[in-house]
Amino acid sequence: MGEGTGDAPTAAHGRDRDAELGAAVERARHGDEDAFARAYRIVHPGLLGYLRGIVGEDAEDVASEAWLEIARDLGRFRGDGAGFRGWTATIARHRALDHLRRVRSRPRPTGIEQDVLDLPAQGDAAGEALDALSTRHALALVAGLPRDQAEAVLLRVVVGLDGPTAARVLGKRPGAVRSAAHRGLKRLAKQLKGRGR
Amino acid sequence: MSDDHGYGALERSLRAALGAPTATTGDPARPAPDDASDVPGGAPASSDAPAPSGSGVPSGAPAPSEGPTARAAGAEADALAAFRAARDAGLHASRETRRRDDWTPATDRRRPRRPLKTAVAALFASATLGGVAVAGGGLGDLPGTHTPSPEPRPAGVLPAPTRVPGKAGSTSPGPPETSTPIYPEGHHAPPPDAHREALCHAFEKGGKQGRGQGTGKGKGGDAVPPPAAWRRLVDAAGGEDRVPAFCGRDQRPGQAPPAGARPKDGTGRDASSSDSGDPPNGRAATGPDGPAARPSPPASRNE
Repeated sequence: MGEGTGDAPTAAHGRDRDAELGAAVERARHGDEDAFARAYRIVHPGLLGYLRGIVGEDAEDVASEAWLEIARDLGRFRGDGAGFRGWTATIARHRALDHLRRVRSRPRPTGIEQDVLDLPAQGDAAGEALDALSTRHALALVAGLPRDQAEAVLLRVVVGLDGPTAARVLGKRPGAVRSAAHRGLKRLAKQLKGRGR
Repeated sequence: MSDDHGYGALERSLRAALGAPTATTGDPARPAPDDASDVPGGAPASSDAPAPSGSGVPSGAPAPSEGPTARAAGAEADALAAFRAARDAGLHASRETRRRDDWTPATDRRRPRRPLKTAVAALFASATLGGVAVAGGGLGDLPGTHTPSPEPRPAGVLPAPTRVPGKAGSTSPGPPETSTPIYPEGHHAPPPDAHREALCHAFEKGGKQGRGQGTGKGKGGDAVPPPAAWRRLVDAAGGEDRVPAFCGRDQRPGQAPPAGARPKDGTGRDASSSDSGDPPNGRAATGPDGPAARPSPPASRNE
């Protein structure tokens, strides 16, 4: 996990969460509804953040679809907490790609791109911009990335997947995902700094 | 990618901005889903059935459209309802784990390589056994098995196969119709080329087993009782001296490896003239293995 998903305290925290998540999932698989609610609350925020990054405003609808499938297929799942993150992210991703196929024909209002232009007009330093990074701004930044970089960044940073898990979700090699995430972060940081100065 | 690359702050900001939405995490006021009719197993198969409140939260029940918090709560309630429905329908116990559902950690994640190895082995095995299958499959249809008493055909009626191309054209590959005049008596179905191929293969196999056991290195093959396949082959060819012509010269363009190899090393001639076990023995060993064994090392190296 710690290999790329964040600084040390967060990684340790993530491991704790994963252990808790794994236990909750195991109980949920045996019918414990409260445990399933626990797992939902642990996983859903990251999942929703990932979905926001790829489907924008429809993320909550897509997340709902994904959760219906997750809840239905929970008995099929095998694995630990980190695996559950990967499994759910894979389901969410498939739902998101389905959604994108559905809506590809009709044009989508692009408030996000507009935000990119507005983003740091007043900013001074990158740090300040980072602190002020709102959800909308963050989405705008991520939306400006190439798709593979955006997904890699979102899966590893926001969902909290480790490299191999993110690679499996994306169907790519771990090295490719690692470098895509790195390039994405580099590009985001450069954008923030460039705009700030 | 974290702090050592200087993106730790950025990651934190992204995580805070995208990964921790206001509504769901630890939301204490999760309202009970509306119209909570307490029929847990009423319509278990439908995943979006209205759900009874799972944890006894007092019902505020705002419509999901009232705000982001309410909407998130509604989404969670929907997920829980789907969970209950699937559980009560027995879906969680009954459905099998597909490959994509198996996220067991660490060592097992490397598993995708094993099927590749298995596939290579299966490919190798099928290529190796393919020749045996051709030979074995042909055995059932051998002309000798259909006739109770195989009588040798009159030699004059059997044209040497070199004469067959002369009839159909000098470069004729010998399609089934050109092989018809080989069996003028007609009480056998004229074996198509595949059958003849099988006959010759079967003889080679039989020579490998029967003669190899009897004489070791195979000098003095005449001491060994001719195997059944050999008898069938002789019968089909119309005589021992016809075997080389029957098996040896039959060039078919579609079957490059066997057709090319056989005339070159003169299997038929060896089998007939010396009647020793050695040449068929050697050919039977190298014949099927040669083409199969050659591609396999690169394949396993790739893996």
